Amino acid sequence: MVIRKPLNLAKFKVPKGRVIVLAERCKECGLCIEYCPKQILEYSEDYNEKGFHYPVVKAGMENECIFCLFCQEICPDFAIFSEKEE
Amino acid sequence: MRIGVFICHCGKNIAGVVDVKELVERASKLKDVVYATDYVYLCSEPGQKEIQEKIEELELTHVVIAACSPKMHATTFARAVKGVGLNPYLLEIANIREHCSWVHHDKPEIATEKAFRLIKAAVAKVRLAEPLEPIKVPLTRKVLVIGGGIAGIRTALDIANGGFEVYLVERTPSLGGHMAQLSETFPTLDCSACILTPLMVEAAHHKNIHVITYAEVKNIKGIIGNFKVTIEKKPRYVIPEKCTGCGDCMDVCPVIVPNEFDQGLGARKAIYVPFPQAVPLVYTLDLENCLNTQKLVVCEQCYKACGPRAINYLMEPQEIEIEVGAVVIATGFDLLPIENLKEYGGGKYPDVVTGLEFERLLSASGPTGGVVRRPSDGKIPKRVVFIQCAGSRDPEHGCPYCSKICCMYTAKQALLYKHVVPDGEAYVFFIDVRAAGKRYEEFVQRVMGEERIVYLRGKVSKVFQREDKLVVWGADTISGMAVEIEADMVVLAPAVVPSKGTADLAKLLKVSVDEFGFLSEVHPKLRPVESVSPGVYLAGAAQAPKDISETAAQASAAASKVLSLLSQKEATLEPIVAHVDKELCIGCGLCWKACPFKAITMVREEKREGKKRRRYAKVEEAVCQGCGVCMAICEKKAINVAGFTYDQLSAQVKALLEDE
Amino acid sequence: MRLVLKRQDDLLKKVEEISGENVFACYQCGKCSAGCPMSTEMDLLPNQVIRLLQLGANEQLLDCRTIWLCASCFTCTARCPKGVSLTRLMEGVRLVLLRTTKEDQVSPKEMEKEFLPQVALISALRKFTT
Repeated sequence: MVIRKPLNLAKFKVPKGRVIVLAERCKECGLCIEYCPKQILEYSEDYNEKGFHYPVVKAGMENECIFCLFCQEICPDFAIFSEKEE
Repeated sequence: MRIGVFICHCGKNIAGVVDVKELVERASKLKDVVYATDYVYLCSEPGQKEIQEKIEELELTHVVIAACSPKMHATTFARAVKGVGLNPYLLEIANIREHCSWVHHDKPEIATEKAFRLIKAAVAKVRLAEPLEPIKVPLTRKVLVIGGGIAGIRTALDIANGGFEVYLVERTPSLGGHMAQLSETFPTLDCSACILTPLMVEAAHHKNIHVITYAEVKNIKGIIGNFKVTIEKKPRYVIPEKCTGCGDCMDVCPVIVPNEFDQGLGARKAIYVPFPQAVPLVYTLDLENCLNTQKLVVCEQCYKACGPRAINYLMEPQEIEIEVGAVVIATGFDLLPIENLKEYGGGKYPDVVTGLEFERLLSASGPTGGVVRRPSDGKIPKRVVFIQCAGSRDPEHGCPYCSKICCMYTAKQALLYKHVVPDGEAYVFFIDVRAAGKRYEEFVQRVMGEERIVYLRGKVSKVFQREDKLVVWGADTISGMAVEIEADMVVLAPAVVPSKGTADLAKLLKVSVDEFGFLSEVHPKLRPVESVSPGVYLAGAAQAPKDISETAAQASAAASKVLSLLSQKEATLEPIVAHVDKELCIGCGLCWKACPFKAITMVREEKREGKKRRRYAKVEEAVCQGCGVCMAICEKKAINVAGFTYDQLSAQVKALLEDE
Repeated sequence: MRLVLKRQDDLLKKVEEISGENVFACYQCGKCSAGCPMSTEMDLLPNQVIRLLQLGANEQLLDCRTIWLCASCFTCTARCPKGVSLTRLMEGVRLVLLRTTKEDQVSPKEMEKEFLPQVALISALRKFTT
C-alpha cells in the first residue's frame, strides 16, 4: 500500500519549543516521557540530589519539540516546561 | 355483473402467434362475459375509444384487457376506463404478449390455449374486484438533498429557486465534491473552482437552502410526502457561528497529517479546512489526529490562538430531526482503489498515480502549486504515460462497464501537462476514445493533432521499475507492434465506482442498486431520475458514471420532478394496500414482524361489554407498499391486499388449472 | 522485438517540413488504406506507414516497400476525413529516404524501355487533368 507522502510539507510551520527541565524537582514519575507525542524525552544517565533520574531531550532531537505543552501540563511537580522558540 | 373482454393483436406481436379470433369466441362464452372483441392496437387512440364506447354502450361493469404487460400500458388503460366513469380497479389486464406470444412464438397452438387460460384467470379475478379510491396524504413542502457536490448543489438551487425549502446534507466539511478537486474542466478548460464556487456560495446564502456539512443521514422513515429524517451532525469542535475562517488556529497546530482533499499528496493540520475556498469557511478539528482525545484535553494551542474563542473541545455529535416531502440522492462517485491495479504497479510505485491525484498536481491550488512533480522525488517528469481503461471495460476487475469520463479527462490532462511542461512527452494508451458530447471530439482531435500527443491503441500489460524510471510495456495494435516506454510517471484512469456508503443509504431509503452498486432508476431511457421508491429521486454519478454537463442536466431533471410533486395539493398513493379483517385476526403479530416497511402495528381494541380486550393488527395505509408479505405469513387469511385478495388469487389459480 | 518509444526525431521533422503536413492529424481510421488501389501489393498499409512515422519507428520505414509502390493517384488524399495529404507525406518520406540512404530504388538503365513505374504515368497524367 503506497502511503502518499505529502509534497508540500515545507509550507506547513509547526511551532517550535525548547524543553527546560528543573532537575531538582523531578521525582522520576515518567509521565512526561510517556506522554510526549514526539517521544523526544528519555531518562538521563545522571541523577538529581534526591537520587532520581530526570528527563532529558534525546540526542539530536532538540529541534523536535512542537510546543504542545503536554509535559508541562502533566508534571505533578512543575519540574519541566517548554518555551516557545520564535 | 357485465364483463367486457378486449383482446389486442398488438400488430403481429400477439396475432402473429395466437389465434385471436378463437380467443374472442371462447371468451364470449365465459360466465358473466357479455361482450368480447379484438382490435389491432388497443393502446392507440381509436383502440382506447373503442373500449370507452363499448363500456358506455353496453353498460359494462368490469373490463378485462388481454394485451401486453401491465408494465407497458396499465396507466394508459386505467386512464381510458376512468374517462368514462369506470373505477380503474375494476379493470384487469391479462398479459398475453410477454407472458405468452413472445415466449412461445414457435408453438402457436399451445400459445393460444395458454392465452385463453390467462384471459379466463383475469375474468375470474375481476369478478371479485372491488372499486378502490386513491389514498391522499398531505405533502410536506420541504426537500432533503443528500450529497453536496455539483449534483446536490444544482438540484438544491433549482428547487430553492422554485420557492421550496431544501436541506442540503454533505458528509465532508465542505461543499464541492470531486468537482472542487479538479484543475480545469473539458472541453472548455474552464477553471473548475471558478465555475463551482459561485454556485457553492449561492447555495450557502440562499434563503431557502439549509446547508448542513460534516453530517450524515442516519435514519429515514415514512413515505412520499412525509419522510422523517434523522441527521447526525458530527462534532467539528469549532463553533460555526463564531469561526471567521482566519486560520490562526491552523498556524499553531503541532500535528501535520495527509489531506484527503489532495488525495494524500498534500498535508493539512489536525484543525483544517479541506481547501481555501471551502463553503462554509469553518475550520474542523479532526479528533482522530489531534493530540487530545475525547477524555483528555492537554494541547490548547488552537483554543488560545483563536480570537473569537470559537473552539470547543467538548462538542458532542448532534442529532436533528427534519420532515420532508421528497428526497434526492446525489452522493456521487469514487475511483477504483489503485491497489486493485497491481499489474500497473498501483499501490507499489509512488509514481503510478490516479487521474484524481494527477488532477491535484495540475491544480493551481494543489499541493505543488500547479507544478507537476513526481511523488517519489519531487522532480518534474519529462515523459508521462497515461493509461485509459484501467479497470473499466474489464470484467476480470469487476467493472465491465465503461466509466465514460476517462477518455475526456485523460485527453485534458495530457494537454494540460504539455502546457506546463512544454518539452515533455505524453503518451496515451487507449482501446477506444469515447468523446460523445458537444465539442468533445474536436477537443480530442486537438490533443492528438496540435499538441502532438502520441495515442497508442492497445492496453498496457505491465509497469515495472528500472532504476529510477517506470518501464511500460504496451502494444499498438494499429501498427501491430509491441512497444516499451521508459516513463517518469504513469497516470491511470481507474474505473468509476459509486461513492462509499451509497449501498447503506440505498437500503435505508429502500432504493435498489445494480450489481455494481449504482442506484437503480425506474427506466433508464424514459425515467432516469426516479428511483423505484416513490418520492426518492436520483441525480448525478450515484446513478451511473457521467461527466459534469450530464450531472448538471440530471440534477435539474430531478429538481423538476420534485417541483412537479410539490406543486400538487397532496400526494396521491396507490390504494393497493393491506387491510385487516378484525374478526379473523387473532393478534399473533407475525405480520407485524414480517412487514419490511414497518407499516403494521398491534393495537388493543376498545373495551367491549363482557368480552376480553383483544389485540389485532392495524395497517398504516400511507406506509404500506402492498408487497403482500403479510398475506403470505398470515395463517388465518385475516389480512388481504386490496386488488389481490386470497379469494381473487385462488380464483385465478383455479381458472388457470381447470380444463374447460 | 519491442519498439522503444522516444521523442520523435529528425526523420519526422524533415518529412513534415518537406510535405507541409501534420502527421499527428491522422487518427488512423484506415480510409486511405481502404481506397488505395495498390494496397493489395503493399507490405504495410498506407495508414500503417503514417503510424510508423508517428511512433518514430524509422527502421521499419526503411525496409518497407509500400512507399515505393505508391502510385501518387491522390485517392487517399481525396478521401481522408482529416484532410491529411498522404500523397505529400509519401513523397516527403521518399525524398528523405533517398537523400539519407543515397540508394536508388529503381535502376533506369536496367529498365525495359516499354515498362514504366505506375507513378510516372498516373502522377504525370494527373498533373494535366482535373
